[in-house]
Amino acid sequence: MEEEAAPLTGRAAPRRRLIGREVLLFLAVIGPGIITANVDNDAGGITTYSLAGAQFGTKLLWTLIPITLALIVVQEMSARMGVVTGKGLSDLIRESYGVKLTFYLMITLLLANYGNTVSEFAGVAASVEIFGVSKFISVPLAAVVIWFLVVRGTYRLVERIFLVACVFYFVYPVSAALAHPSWPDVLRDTVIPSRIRFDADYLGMLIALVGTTIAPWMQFYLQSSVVEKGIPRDRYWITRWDVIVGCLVTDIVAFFIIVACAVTLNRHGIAIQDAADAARSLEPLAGRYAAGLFALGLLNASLFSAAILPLSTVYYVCEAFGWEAGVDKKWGEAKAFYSMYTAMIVLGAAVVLLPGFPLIRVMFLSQVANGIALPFVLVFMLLLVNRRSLMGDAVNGPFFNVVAWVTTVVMIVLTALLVAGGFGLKIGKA
Amino acid sequence: MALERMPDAVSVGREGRFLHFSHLVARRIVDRDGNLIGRLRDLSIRLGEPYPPIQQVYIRPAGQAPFVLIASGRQVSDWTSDPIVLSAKLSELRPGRRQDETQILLGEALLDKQVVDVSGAKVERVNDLSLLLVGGGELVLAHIDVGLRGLVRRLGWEKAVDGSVRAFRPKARYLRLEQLIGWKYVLPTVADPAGLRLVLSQKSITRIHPADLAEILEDLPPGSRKPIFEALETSTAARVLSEFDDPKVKQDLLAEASDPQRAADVLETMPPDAAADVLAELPEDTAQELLSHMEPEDAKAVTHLMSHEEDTAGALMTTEVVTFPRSLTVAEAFQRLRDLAPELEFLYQFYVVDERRRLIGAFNIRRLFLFKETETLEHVMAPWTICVHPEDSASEVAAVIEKYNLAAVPVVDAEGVLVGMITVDDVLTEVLPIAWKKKLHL
Repeated sequence: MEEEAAPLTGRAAPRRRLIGREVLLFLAVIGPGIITANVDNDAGGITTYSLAGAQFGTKLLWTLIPITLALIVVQEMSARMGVVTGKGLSDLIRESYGVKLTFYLMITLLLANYGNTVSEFAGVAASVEIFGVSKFISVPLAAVVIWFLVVRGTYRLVERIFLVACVFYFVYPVSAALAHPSWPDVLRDTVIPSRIRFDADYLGMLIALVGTTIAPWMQFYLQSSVVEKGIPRDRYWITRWDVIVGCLVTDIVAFFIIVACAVTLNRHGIAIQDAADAARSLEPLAGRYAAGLFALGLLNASLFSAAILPLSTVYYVCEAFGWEAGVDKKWGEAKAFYSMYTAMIVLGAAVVLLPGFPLIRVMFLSQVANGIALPFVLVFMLLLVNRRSLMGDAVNGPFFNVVAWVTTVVMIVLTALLVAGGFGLKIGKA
Repeated sequence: MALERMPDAVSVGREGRFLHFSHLVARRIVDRDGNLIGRLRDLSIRLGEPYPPIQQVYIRPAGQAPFVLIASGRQVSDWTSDPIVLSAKLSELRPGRRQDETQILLGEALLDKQVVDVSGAKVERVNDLSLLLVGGGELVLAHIDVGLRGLVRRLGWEKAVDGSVRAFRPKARYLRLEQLIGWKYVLPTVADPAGLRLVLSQKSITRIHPADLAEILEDLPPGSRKPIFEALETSTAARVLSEFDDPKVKQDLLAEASDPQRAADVLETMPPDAAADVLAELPEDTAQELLSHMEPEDAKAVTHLMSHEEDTAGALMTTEVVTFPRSLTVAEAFQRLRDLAPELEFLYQFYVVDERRRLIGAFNIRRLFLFKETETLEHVMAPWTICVHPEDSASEVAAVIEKYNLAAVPVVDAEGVLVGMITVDDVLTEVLPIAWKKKLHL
């Protein structure tokens, strides 16, 4: 990443001292990276990492290092494009590749993100089931509350509350440590891949791990938030750190979820069939309160992402087609925006209410879908970020291009292998 | 405000017929002998005209040629045929680039891009362009298409969608409704500064109120906002600048200005209190830099205002105050006001001061009309001097303005010297609650 560390102006970076006003500057700019990171650990994320630990023990930990690298590279590209062009990703795609490609990409993303929205509501259902509350109460209630919070515009305040509640993730490292894993083994599995398989479950899990961590919609979300913050180019170095720290936090949390589940579930041969199973990974820390703690954490993550994800999806679809968008607009001014947003929430919640709906499996499969959709977004991002007419001197360096292209190709190959194997995914089946 | 139009109402005969840019793109082009030249890649127009004729036709030659051939718009003998027929010969066409920066390419600068719809004061995305064949076979740009039909047409589903809509609801609004905006109301966001200035010099564009323009610019991405702001006339830019709600936008436009001197000119044009408000929101080094580009006198006035504590009379006041000596006649006062008028924002309330600029009286323009031309101001002015002091709070100022029903209140220092004036609009947010409370008898 060294070559990317130079500021965008092309001049050598002057030494920065973080005192007084500089600290204020820093606080004014950080946010997009960290918030994106926390939305990233949503219901689908927690479920996928838990399943990875329960199913494969620590054997998949090695994937986290390349995933983190790819995540940083990809997110940094989004943030950089946002700062340099001052435009959102869907805006750039529309302007550079015309209506047709944009349309089909947006359809793909709408579907993938609909899947994600379903998985957030599945997260709500699964978490409150631990307390014995029926999903027929919790899910409609959550849908109504989220709809009002966002449309009534108190959303910013809620965002802060959710963010604070994200300290929940810190229970995983503690729980993992208290479960006394064999740290040398953990370390070895983190650095050296072993027992690589090519069956559908393993491939599907790989795709889901990448898809949940480097979710396609996050790139749109991050770029839009950077644009909205109006970060000037000379302060981009702060945003870059914001992004890097956010990515590291995401993956450190992922690491400990996998370790905690590996030690508590995989070691005892427990497969995750519902949220209560996944909650047992917190027993070393919380004992009999583990289930309650897990339920609250999952509920928070689900609600947070269910609020952000449909909103941002609809927002960038409208951006691409030039339709009025934003919660500050009246219903009559932004009909397309509000109808699509409402449809996402209503349909997302409705599906979860179907009798016998497989909550855990859907949360997992939505992340596989993310992973399959990812290369399409990455190709557009790579083509755009390397356009000199758009980015000037801020185009990608060779290292970034290699990492991002390798990620793209690997995801395509994994998907092809999964399809060739006939999609025989059994993970998460009750 | 998108115009609704029956799409085919005027398409009788070749003249007066509308063509869609999306239908022309990639159409084959042949020369007058029928030799294939290539496919249409783009069309250029000149900015600043309400119905700009197509200037140049960009043709991508057949095969893998790395250049484009350019024909002039007048060399096209038939736009409606497929392939399009030129009146020139293949050998007469030259490869090349666009001639000057007052021209833009329709595909490159408009299609799929955001533009400002001045008539509706909105930012729109261009789905298609509609071109009109006028007399002499000339093709002019008439409208931009921002509607759903344009989108469907671009996707290539026009026939399928039209057919299925017609099958279910033959009278559906969708079939008749085109959302078109006349080109003369369109401000492109992708253009060179010189081109933008040309567009902005058109009458139809300048009809937009600075407050609306500010709102539109806030909606645009920063990259498109800056060139438009910088192409505005200094006086318009000054008015737009004080209308921005988002301090980040002001910062962005001033701190990142490509020409600090011009940014400073804009600030000079603003009333000093408004300029001080804007500068106070900027990072200190940027503010200092801009101040250093301003005329020393203006810079001094602005810095002085900035030195007062926020939300006190001193920070709210403007130093642009009209003062007269008491011995002046009404006729002389009128003459002086006529001379001052172009420089001043607020021309209603005036003050009479002595030789040491101490406030001795006040009068407004209405009173000036009520007296004979030969009368001196001593008789015109009201003998009382209601005033506030620089350290008074905004709410105290508002209370004074509300109590005495003033349009403006003078600010005097401890020695009674007039230092500035606060107009009612600067404390409106403070005055309104007071007025409401009185009305509700609270």
